[in-house]
Amino acid sequence: MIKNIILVAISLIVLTSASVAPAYAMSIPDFGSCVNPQGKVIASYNSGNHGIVGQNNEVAGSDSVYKSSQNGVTQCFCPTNGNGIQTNWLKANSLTASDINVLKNQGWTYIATGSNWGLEDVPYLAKNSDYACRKNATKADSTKILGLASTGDSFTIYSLIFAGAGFLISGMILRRFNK
Amino acid sequence: MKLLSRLFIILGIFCYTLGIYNIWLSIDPHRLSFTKYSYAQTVSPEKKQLPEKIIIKDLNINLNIIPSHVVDNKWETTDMGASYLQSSPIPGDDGNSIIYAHNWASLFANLVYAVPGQEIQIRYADNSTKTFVIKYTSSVTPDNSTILAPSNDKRITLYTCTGFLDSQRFIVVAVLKDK
Repeated sequence: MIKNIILVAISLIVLTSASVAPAYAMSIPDFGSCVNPQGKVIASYNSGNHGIVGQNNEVAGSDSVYKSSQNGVTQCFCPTNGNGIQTNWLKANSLTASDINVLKNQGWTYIATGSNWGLEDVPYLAKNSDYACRKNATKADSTKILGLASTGDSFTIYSLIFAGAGFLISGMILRRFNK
Repeated sequence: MKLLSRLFIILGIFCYTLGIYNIWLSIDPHRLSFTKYSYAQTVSPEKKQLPEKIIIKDLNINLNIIPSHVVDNKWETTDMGASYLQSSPIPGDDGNSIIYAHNWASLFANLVYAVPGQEIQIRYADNSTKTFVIKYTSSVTPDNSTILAPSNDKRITLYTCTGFLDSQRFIVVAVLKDK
C-alpha cells in the first residue's frame, strides 16, 4: 500500500513537471507580439478584406505585416469585431521534412508558397494566435479558463491543505472500517 | 470500500503535493519574470512624479504601486500592490512603462477580464492623475519579452501570470488618453 502511494506521488510530480522540447535543424525565431510588434513594416493596410490562414473567407479589418527576423514574418490582423489574429510566418525552405512534421503536429500549417500571401516564393509554416485589438472585442483570456489559475495565493494553498487533510482522514477512517 | 479508501488517500497526497508546489510558486523569484529582458533604461524620476496608485474601476482593481527592479533576471515582487519596473519610463512619459503583479485575488486576478476601451488611472506622488485607455490584450509565453520593448507612444504595459500552472503572461497594453 505504502509503495503504491509513493509510486503515485512520484508519477504525479513527474507528470506535472516534465516536458520534452523537440530539437529542430534551425531555431524558431522570435515573432514577438502584435501588442508591441518589432521589425520593419513590409505591408500595412488600415482597412480592406484580408486572407487569414485557416479561414476560407476573407475578413474585413486592418492588417500590418512585420519582418520580425531573417526567417520570420509577423502578420497582425485586426478585424472590425476586435478579435485580432496574429499569424507567425516561418520560412520552411531550410527545415527538414521531419522538422516540418513536428511543427505541423504543434499546430503550424504548411503553405507551399508564400507568393499567394504577398510573401517570398518559398514554402512557409504559419500559426495563428489571438489578441484583442478593438473596443468591441469579446475574447476573454482562454488560458485562464483552461488553466489552474491564481496559483501561489494563500486561498489556493489553504484550500489544498484542507482538502488534502479531508481526503486523508476520510481514507484512513474507511481503511479502519475495512479491518 | 477498500478502493474508495485508497482513492481518498491518493487524492489527499495529490492535494498536498499541489499545495507544496503552490507554496514554492508563491516564493519563486522567477515566477513573474520574462526571460531575455534587455530593455532596461536609466530612469531617474523626480520623486513627485513616481506612480503611487493604479485604479481600474471596471475590474475592481485599486492597488498601491511599489517600485521594483530586475536583478539577475529575478523580478522583485510584492504582495502589497502592483510592482512598477523602475528601469522603464514613468507612466505617461514617452515609451513603455511596465507594471506587474501576481494573479492573486487581492492583486491582478481580475486583469484577465480586461478588454480594449476600458480606462486605467494612475495616481502620482504629487496627487496628479493620468488616464490610459486599454488598446490591446493578449497572452504570451515568458520568452516573448518584446512586449517589454520601448515604444514610440506613451504606453503602460500591465501583466500577470495566467495559463496552466502560470506558464503564460496575460498582457494589457494601454495608451495615454488624449486630453
